[in-house]
Amino acid sequence: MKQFQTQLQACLPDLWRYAFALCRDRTLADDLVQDCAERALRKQALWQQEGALKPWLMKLLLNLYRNQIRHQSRRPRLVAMEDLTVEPAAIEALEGKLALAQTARAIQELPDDQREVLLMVVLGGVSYKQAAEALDVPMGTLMSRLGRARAKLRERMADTPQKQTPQKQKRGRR
Amino acid sequence: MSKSDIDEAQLHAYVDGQLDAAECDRVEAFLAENPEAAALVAEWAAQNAAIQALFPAADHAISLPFVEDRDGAHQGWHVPLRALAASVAILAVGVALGWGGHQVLRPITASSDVVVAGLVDQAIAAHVVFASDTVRPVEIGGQDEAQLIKWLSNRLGQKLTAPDLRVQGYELVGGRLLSSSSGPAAQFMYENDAGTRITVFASRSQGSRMAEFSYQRGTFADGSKEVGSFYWQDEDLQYAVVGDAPREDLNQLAVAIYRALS
Repeated sequence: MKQFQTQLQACLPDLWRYAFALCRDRTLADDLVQDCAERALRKQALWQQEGALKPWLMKLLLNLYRNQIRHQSRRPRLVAMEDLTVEPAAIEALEGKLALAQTARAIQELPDDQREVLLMVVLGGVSYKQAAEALDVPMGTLMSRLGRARAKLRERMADTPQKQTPQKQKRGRR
Repeated sequence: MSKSDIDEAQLHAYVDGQLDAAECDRVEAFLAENPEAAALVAEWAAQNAAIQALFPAADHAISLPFVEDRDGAHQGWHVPLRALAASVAILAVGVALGWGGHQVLRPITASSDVVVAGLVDQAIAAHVVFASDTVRPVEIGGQDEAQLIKWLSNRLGQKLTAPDLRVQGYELVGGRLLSSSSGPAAQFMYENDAGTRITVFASRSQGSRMAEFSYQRGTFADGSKEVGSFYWQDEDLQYAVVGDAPREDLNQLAVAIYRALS
């Protein structure tokens, strides 16, 4: 029992990061991870000792997200740029921030199944095999969703307007 | 080494750090001979880096929740505390609304959404009133741009520019001075061939907060039409771009304006 809690605790940072990426809101991510951990503690008897704990937790988290949060986080909300957490020290950084905002939008526009795969693989700290297990899909499906997600992001980022020197653009009219 | 023994799945695995050292070596040897694949892999790696930058790890410790013991013994204060926290949050929102998002409340409301929403509302209201005016939508027309800019800059006490949006298909109609809850404000109006009008609203920033960027929708007072708005601010000015254009178009415009002004 103690061991289960230790393992669970060790998984929480990755779970939180995945939750944050899914719902793009720190408070929602906090709630989601708390719900997930609570459920895991209650249901620990169901966990098969042989398997790794994290895929099972990821699956729990994903189900909670799909049931509770997804609809809420779809609603247009005010999302503060400061949640994108890059220090805007210079104009260059602001440009970088915009590129990041563009990436964030592109991720948001991915179909749910592709976004869930991509974010889990990049942020979840799990192997492909574990990700497939957590998402309850065959390995081939996982890989094709990952491939499609990345292709779509490339496409979207290629649409991004070229960087321009602000000064040039500002008074280029005359 | 033949090309065929490295497939796309292995390239993904390479980017995601799922390969052992020997497999990495094999993929790297392959990439050295296949610049196209190498470029693709570099793009994927950049995507990963962007995703990691967008969603950093939690900056706070995450503790395990308390749950009831198997025998049903209650570990006490978990639920009451949560309920208490929720009621405090509701109170805070109530107070914030009542006081117009007073500065002191910022830490509780977690952001100054209330203040922002107030400003955006004013920008939307001004848009609704003046953009629908066919007779005199602006006080000074776009043909007298220099005069317009000088006047508005003086009134705001801050150097302004009217961004050039002709690449996006929008001509400057002109501008006017407005009053807002944060003092004098400038409104620039633009129009495209189809007669769609957008307005850029600018007023002085309060405090020196870092840039943020957000999107909001509002409705005409009579509910007839929806308008979208992008809001952001820098150290000197806060801006809102308002229009009844589709979100994606408005987004493009907002980004163009943001770049022109930064």
